[in-house]
Amino acid sequence: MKVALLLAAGFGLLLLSELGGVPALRIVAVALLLAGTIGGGVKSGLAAAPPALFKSLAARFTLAIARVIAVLLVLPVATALILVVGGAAVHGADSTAGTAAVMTGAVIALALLAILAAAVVVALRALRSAAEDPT
Amino acid sequence: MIAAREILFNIDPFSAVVLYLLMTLPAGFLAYGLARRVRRWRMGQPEDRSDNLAQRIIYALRMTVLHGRIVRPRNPYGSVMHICIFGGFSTLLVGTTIVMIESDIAVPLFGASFLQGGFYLGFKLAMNLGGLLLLAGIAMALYRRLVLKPATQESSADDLLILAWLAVLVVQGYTLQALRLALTHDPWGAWSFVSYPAALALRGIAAELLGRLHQIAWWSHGVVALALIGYTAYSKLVHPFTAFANVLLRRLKPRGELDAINNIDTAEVIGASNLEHFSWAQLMSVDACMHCGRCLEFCPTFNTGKALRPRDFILSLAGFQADQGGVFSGVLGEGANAGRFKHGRGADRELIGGVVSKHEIWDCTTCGACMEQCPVHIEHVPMIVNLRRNLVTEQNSFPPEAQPIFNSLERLGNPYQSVPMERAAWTKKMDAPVAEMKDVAAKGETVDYLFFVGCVGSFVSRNQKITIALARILQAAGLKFAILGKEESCTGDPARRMGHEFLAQQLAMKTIERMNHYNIRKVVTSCAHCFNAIKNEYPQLGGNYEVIHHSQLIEELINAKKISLGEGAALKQGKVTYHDPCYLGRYNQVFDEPRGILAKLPGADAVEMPRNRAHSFCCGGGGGQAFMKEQGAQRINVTRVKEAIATGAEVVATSCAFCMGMFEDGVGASDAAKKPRVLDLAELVAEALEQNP
Repeated sequence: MKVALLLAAGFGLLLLSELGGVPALRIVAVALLLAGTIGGGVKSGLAAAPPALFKSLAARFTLAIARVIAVLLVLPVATALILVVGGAAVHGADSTAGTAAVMTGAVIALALLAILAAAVVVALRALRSAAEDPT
Repeated sequence: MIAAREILFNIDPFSAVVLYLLMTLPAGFLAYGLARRVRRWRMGQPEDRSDNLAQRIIYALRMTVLHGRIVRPRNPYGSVMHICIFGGFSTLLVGTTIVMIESDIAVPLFGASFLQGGFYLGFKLAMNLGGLLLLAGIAMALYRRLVLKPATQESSADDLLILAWLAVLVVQGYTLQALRLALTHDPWGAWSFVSYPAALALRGIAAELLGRLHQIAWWSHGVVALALIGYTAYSKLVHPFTAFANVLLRRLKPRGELDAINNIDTAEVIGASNLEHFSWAQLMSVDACMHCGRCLEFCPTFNTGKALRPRDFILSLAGFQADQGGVFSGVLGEGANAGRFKHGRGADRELIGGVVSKHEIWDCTTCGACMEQCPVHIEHVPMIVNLRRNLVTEQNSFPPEAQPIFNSLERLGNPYQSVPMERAAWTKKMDAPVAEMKDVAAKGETVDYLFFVGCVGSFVSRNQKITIALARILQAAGLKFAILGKEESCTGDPARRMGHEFLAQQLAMKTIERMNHYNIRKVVTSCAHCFNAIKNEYPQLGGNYEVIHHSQLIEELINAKKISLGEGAALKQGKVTYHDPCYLGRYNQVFDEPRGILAKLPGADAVEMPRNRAHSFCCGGGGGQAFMKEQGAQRINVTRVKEAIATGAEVVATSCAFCMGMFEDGVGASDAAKKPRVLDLAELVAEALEQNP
């Protein structure tokens, strides 16, 4: 009950702060929401274990969500980095910032793209090995 | 115009509401996961670890935040790697917190902005540097796991996923920054030196497209960051919490002191056969394991291919605890980590046999190398001994060669089936008589020291030479000392380390009774195990004495010029290397005094083995192993002897009764063309005494 009250109060104050134009209430709203979720998390965490079915569902759910995150959520950033490279290629010579600076940007973007791609590959392989683990 | 930025740029208020709401979910998830772990820990036995709180906090901050036990000269790669990851991550975390303080507290509540001007510019610089630091650390970590693949490291899905996740967050952060700089034409953009060049390249792209992309990327970054927070408690990422807690609440008693079982006659359970039989602090410690594998580096069983691998032992307990913990207990860490589920999985396993094998339990030499290396103060040895206690006392299950040892200790007070009356037989070989306490007390006299000889020094012919050598040194120095003679009995150390706590306490109390009867104040012993037992464990049972090891006393005597030394015959042969006994060095920090003796011995040319001092490699004799059959083809003592031979030393010096036996055996088994002599420090000094009339 207390948790629900904290969450409700927090949500209400948050709406007021953001949509009602009273930003000073934001921190109070966040504090109440956090108190509610953390309190609720601690309370249910200290309680007896939920059924084993939850755990197997959670395992499958976690792996599936993780795969989605690994691919979908990096796409916006990957798109932006590709635009950097494209922008440098198309507009680099005309840029008021200087060709060298723009090309540096393209190099940085390529490096970040490579890191992103490597990270996604590592993540997907890790998730696959976790899913395939015979034990 | 002051340098500053609009927080939540290009983000509408409704999205901000959703973000703040979403933020609370991973916080709740994190709290749930931590609470589930705390719930499991609370099922352990009570133990008071709240003493010296201020000292604990300072030490914990030094060891964790300041990387006191993480940075090690012997592991520069791992040290630098972790500094980069920790430094980068902390910078970004603190930076994000600063932004939240600015936007949620400083401006709305106090109308004052601090994230501007020079502070803001420094902030941008630090954040960009932090990101690079974190990426460098991640690259080093992945290179180590995927290319170098050290033998002490295994990688699970969890280990790799976390690294990839962090890398994605950093790249997202830089890209978001580039999009914002491109849209705002920030005049101070160059301070964000990583993103700024990319922002310049984006300027030719339509602003509307960039704006939309910024919003989507902002959401993806937020979701990925929040998901990481939520995942923390269910993965290795929990270690900032559990590691700090474990270091904070670490055991402050001497490392060489195993906890006694109080009121053992009426205790319901002896040792551990369930997780709940461990203390809450021990259960917490298994969750603090970061899988680093440092405990394996100097472990004698890991390095000789035996079943026991300390990290796997701890992770097996952690995995079992996770199984019993319920939902979301390390799901993704279950995968390829061979250590956790070697013998099966599920919450209904037997602890001994189903989680940890008897081979693993009995392999341990209790050398403490794992505990010395562990960055987060996990105490492997007490947990292993706890399992032994249950096996011996409650299950009557132990290696068959231990039975005659237990019988001999119980009936005769020594493990060698030797008659107690013969304990002082070595004194017949002395030129001058050695007093016994009963005679000293009968005359109403006192002594400077009780010389506690120990069973090995009393009954094993090779070790009797060490006893005689020490007695001669003490006589030459004019010290008044006596022995207990046939009244002496085993200290109980072998029984205790082998898990027979009943017998160990019986033997200890008998010895304490004798020593207290004679009002003994100072004790000198030549056995490192007796030294540790009397010094660190006897106070538990009412035996409080000033205990000195013979290497410490001999060095004192040399420095005080109570004995003078010539060049002994053994040292004329060449180099000498000193082996640090585990129960003297690692457990009691006695490293310098033995070396001080060698430095003062004329003609001694001392060389160090690569694994020395706190990193000494066990001789394989501790933990009752001197009496039990060693498993596996590769022998620990032979491995150590090879290391000694490789130094080119003609003499191996040691200062422990068990080490002497293990080295002699190892040298005998060695196929080296030139085998070194094994001599105790007392023998080297006694020989040098005789060369200097």
